[in-house]
Amino acid sequence: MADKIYDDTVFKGLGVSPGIAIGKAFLFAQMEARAAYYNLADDTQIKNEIERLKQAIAKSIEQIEVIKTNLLGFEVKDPIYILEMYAAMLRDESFVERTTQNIRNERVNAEWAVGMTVDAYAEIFSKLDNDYIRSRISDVQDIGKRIIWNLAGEKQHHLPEGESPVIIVARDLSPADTAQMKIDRVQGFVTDMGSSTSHTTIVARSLEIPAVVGMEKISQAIRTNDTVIVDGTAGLVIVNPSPELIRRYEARRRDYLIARSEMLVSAKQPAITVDGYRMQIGCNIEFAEEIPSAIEHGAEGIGLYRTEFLYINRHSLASQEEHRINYESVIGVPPLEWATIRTFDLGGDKFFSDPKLAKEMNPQMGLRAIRFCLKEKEIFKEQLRAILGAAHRGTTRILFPMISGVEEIRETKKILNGVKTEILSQGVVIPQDIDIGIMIEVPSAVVMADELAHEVDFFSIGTNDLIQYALAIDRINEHVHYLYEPLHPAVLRLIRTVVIAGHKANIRVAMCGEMAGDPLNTLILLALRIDELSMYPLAIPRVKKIIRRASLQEADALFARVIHLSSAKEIRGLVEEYMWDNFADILPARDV
Amino acid sequence: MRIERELQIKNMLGIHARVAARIVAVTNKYASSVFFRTKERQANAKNLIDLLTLSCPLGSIVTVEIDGSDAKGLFEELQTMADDKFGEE
Repeated sequence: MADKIYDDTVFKGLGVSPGIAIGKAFLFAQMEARAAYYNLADDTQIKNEIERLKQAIAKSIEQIEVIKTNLLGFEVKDPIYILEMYAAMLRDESFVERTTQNIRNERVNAEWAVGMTVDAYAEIFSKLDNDYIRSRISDVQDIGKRIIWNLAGEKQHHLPEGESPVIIVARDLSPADTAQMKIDRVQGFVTDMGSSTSHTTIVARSLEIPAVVGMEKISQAIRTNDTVIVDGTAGLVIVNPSPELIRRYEARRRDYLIARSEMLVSAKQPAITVDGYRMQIGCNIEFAEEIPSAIEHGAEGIGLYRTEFLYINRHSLASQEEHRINYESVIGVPPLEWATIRTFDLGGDKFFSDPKLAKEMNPQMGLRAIRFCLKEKEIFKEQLRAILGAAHRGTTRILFPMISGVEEIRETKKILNGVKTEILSQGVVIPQDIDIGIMIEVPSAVVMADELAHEVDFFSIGTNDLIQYALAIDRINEHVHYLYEPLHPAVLRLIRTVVIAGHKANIRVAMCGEMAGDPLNTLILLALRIDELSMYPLAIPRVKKIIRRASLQEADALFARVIHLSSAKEIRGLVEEYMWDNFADILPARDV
Repeated sequence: MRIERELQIKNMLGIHARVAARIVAVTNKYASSVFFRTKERQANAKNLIDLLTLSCPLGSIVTVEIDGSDAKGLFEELQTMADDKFGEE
């Protein structure tokens, strides 16, 4: 290896999980392997390459079969059929034949030979007159990628042996990717894709490790074993820093940890404004293991327990018993006063471990969340039985995602009541006071909030999706991400509508999206009279501290000024200015 | 035994990916070799990608050429599938 000169290259991205990490990069392998070209000098190599090809194809078939088995319990016909097609393509003898001939005749390595075969098929397909079949070339290309990927470095997919900590660098990370990492060795995440609400962000925050996302092409600029500094607070990544820079960042890292521990000292005090308004503070979690840290950071309850992990990346459906054990581990954990369990929000980007499988044209608006549940009632009932079975542990709230109208919640409640009757007859004791709530994340639910309020005990505003749907922005698309603006006047008005409708019907209104955890928004949310803010645990100390120093009076005054503004930019400008003038010592340090 | 017979494609979408996958699942159960032929092309009906490139729409006539000891059983099964519009519309 050539001597590396310290180049101090700085990349700027979106800091989504604060803190500083310094360590060796590990490039997490991508499916889009770019094949290298080698000329084969002798015939033994040809034999070896053909053998490698056959093994890579066998491996690919095996992987497809595993994914297929994982999905079998779900009765999702389309993806399974696509997988069967992939498997059949991988078994296509003429594909193998063409590729081995390329190796033999052109004397090229297996990766290159696969690329040649795929190109040859692309040529053939492009000449077909049937549009539909012509487009199937994408499937041939997909299996080509998979074979090349298996040829190139199956090893790269797993962390290197040993215990040394690493910084994961990737194009993007799916739940399946992070699930297979030895997570205790990961010190930081750096990804090309992503936003403040993507999976990488959620995982990084829940593990309290720094992450910078949305870096566009950094996975091509960093190589495994490069030294990397990740500044998740400022959103910076520095590749191959000089010893001097490393020293500076080590000092910053210590400062950060000290500041954080100071913040934690007051984290457990309640969030009461100087004029006596108490905001309930919940935490958003995915695993019971996060609870101790959430308590340490000042959570008073669980405002959002995501249950998707019970469904993804598994070989079979979790049993009802497994569900119940999981729910029992999050309900009634002192000093947490309540646990809000969101029923599964599968579909869209969260369901399939292989993004290729979720090929709905518009998965965010497709068959997901409550829609999936109302279609696959048996899967849904299993989950409800488990939640009800665990509810004896403490105050339980059940939260249904993606409700778009009254019919859906009525049908959902009917199913819930059916399950209640059924398990009561089996002698299971169900507490009387289980609250039922819905996520307000579809714009139609905002419009219908006054009607919906009569159906439930609470609302929880899911700002991530609500903003995405209301502003028509794909939150993981790096090109439109800049339009994602919680302080958009339309968003503020939507939230206000929901709170007014909820309070008129005497029900609580919570907020559990990213918007709730950004301290810059805290005064605005006070003015809107949200009853409960639920956020990732790390965000709690700051938000609480701001609430304790603020008054409703000043929050209302600020809100009165912004609500008359018509542009998101003006509102953000005004809010940020006010917050920096009055709460600068609490806000996270600004980028320098 | 060698069979050469014609099959008519009666389903709306023709031999598209799902149908092709179904066909190769059947042909690969048999020892006989099997080729589908249209005016323009010929495809090994045991190979999915090959079969797709045949691109047979509704109403097309495919010449099926089977050679092997279990040729008869295979043709009958293919015929039943085609008559049943491959389980589609």
